[in-house]
Amino acid sequence: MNLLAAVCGNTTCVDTSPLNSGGVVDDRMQTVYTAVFWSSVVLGAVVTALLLYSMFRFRRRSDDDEPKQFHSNTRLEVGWTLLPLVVFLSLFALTAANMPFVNDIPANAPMRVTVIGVQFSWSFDYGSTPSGKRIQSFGTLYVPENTEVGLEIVSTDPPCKPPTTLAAGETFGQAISHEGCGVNHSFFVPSLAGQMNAIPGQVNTMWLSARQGTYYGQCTELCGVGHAGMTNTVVALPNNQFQSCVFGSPSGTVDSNSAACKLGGS
Amino acid sequence: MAVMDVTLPRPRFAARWDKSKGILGWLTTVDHKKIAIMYLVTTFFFFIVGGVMALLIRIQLAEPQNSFLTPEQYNQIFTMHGTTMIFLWIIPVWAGFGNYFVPLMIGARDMAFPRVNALSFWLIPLGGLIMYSGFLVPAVLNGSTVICPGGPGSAGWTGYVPLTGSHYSCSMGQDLWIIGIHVLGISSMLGGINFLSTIHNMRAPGMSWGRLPLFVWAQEITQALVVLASPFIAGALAMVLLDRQIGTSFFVPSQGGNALLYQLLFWFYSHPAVYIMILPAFGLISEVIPVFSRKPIFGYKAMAASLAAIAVLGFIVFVHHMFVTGLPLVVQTFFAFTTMIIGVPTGVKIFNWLATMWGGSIRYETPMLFAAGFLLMFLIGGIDGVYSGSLAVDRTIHGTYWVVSHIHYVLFGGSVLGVFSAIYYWFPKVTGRFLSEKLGKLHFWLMLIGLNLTFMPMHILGLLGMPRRISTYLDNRGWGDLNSLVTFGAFLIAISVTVFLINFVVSLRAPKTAPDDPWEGNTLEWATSSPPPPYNFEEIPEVHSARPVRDRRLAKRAAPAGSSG
Repeated sequence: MNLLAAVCGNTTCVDTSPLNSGGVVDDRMQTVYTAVFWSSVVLGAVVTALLLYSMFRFRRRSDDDEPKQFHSNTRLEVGWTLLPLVVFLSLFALTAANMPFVNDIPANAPMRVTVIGVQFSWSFDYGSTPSGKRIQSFGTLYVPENTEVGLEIVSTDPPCKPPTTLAAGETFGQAISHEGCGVNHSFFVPSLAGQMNAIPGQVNTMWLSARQGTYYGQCTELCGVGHAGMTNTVVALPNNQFQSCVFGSPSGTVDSNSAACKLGGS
Repeated sequence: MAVMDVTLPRPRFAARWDKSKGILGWLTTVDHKKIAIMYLVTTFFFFIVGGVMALLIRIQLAEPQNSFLTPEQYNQIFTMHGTTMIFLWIIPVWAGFGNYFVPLMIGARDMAFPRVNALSFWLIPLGGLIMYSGFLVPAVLNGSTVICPGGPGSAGWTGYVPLTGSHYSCSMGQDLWIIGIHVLGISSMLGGINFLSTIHNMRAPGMSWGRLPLFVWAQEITQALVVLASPFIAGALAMVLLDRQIGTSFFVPSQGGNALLYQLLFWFYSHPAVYIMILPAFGLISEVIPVFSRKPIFGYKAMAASLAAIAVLGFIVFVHHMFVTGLPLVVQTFFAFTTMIIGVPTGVKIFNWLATMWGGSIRYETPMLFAAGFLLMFLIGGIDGVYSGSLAVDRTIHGTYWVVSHIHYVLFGGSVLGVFSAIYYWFPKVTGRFLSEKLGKLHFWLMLIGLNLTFMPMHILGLLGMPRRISTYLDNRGWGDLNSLVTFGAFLIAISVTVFLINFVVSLRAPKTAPDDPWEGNTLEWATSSPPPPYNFEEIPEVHSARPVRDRRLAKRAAPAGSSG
């Protein structure tokens, strides 16, 4: 189902619909979504039809007729208690069966990125260079295509400063979260993996594995006056290109304008 | 049409019961009916104010990158829209109807604590004034530099920390927002205790729990929720206020506090609050449908039991508002389970309403039209709820316009259509006059079409990834046309409300033609005059079934037939 094509006449629209999946996590979510959607539509349509039927069929025709005063039927009542129960429990079972895959970063995920929300932008930390410089990109997250990437999502803001030293066994994201600055945000990439909040004082996780392409999203948790402008992009590059885009820059800051970071360019 | 002929002599009550007259009479009254009318007028005023703010929001969002409102103004207005509609309209408007009709329906002369009742009411305009005085908070300037922009609360009706912390929301308006909600919360809790005391202790002889009108059952359960849940939001907001004002750090992560704790406390109240807003509508619909279908409610016991089940389960689904906050998966899965389960008692109600109409003899005066609209619209909102209860689905629609659509199908398509059904149903009882059927039908159809044009496209916008609470959006998202449609729908709703106001004013000037029992009602409010005397009943009625007024009507019809034959 391509909603976007229906609402966007020209070709300049970017896709922010979870229904147009660009990776394995959203594929899985769409499996659940499709089942929930059609169950809801069928259930809703059947009950609506019954309601409309009885509303029209049993209109009053004469002020003198008093209809039969029946008011219970145990078998019927048990039936319409159990029927929704079965439908809802099936949807729950389907959800529960798929959630560990969606929720948990695969143990063998080769890469981790720290996603940092501030008022009002996103930055992405890929680790440090041998000389100890942090490698970061701003606004756009670069990932190698078809690779499991774990994301640690945190929030910060001034007066907290980026941590310069990490305690033993501590990740960059954990070090940021211990400082506890910032407001809540939500990192949302509809076509890849849904969303996860960035909450001061804690590290949340999600993961994605994207097919080659560019994906768009924006913050979905009210974070202040600049909330509407807090957009993010995810670019899934061929692996070689990803390496030179992210790890090729001597300054540590990924240059989004460099040829290596442009999909389809070289 | 059967009219109760009141032939009893005016009793001793008339001389000494409520004699308050004029403005001073209204200001000092402890009569539950006068207090109720003040509740209804005050809350409807706030409905209009909240509605005007909704229109401002919709003008701003009608096209991409619009600059009708600044982002600051936008955040203030959608915050005040949500807060107003919840705390100053839907919750207290049902308390208003409860105030008028619970004592009448149970055959009592007043609420248990009439003075507390007056206090509950007067706290509402007070709370509203405190909250709205935030608009007067000026910006703090240093030379020409704005240090703090001023204005009312602007962190959404949910008021999440740390955004509501003093560092991020410096305006005193945010404190006034908190204190306003506190005052309204006290009003609710006092009202809740009053309702529970009244329903438990003041029922007419023979009115057992098995004969209690379902509207009163719904109020009983609702008010129990109010009393049990409201302390949690009061506590949470008190802690925010302390964090802001005296430097505590309950929710300040940089000082060892926990930002997520606020959300847990907030939703422990605010999810039950959704039921506080919809259960009274369930009760009302359960009165209107049987009367206009000329049948008893189907599955009375199941209807009362499902209200109670929804209330109990309502306390253990609240974490579904927090599926993207990083709680352990096992916790999320539990709450996804309970969220699915709460759909079952809700489904039971819909099937019972359906079965009540089935085989009936339905006439479509305006109250029944709104009840029918309620059934169809609430069904959409209810299914939406189960839909987003699926964790995997929620991860993709959380925080988007899909959720805005869901809450408005429940609270507008459900609660507000229920309120209008109640207004058309009870207007003859309260005023002795009918609202115009012609204007009523126009109002209904405009509102039904308007609300669907407003809220249905929001489903699609959410599935296109449009976040809620954004003050504007880029034109390359493809959201523009649908948003224009939503704005058009919102203005249609505004026109329908205008039609209602015209109807209201015109009808108030019409002659008093409403009999005591215009709809062939079942419950005791139809056993007294329209409007009822200050003491409600000449004699406290005796109750022998769940439909005492129908019993009387049938007995009266049988008596002359017997004497002539």
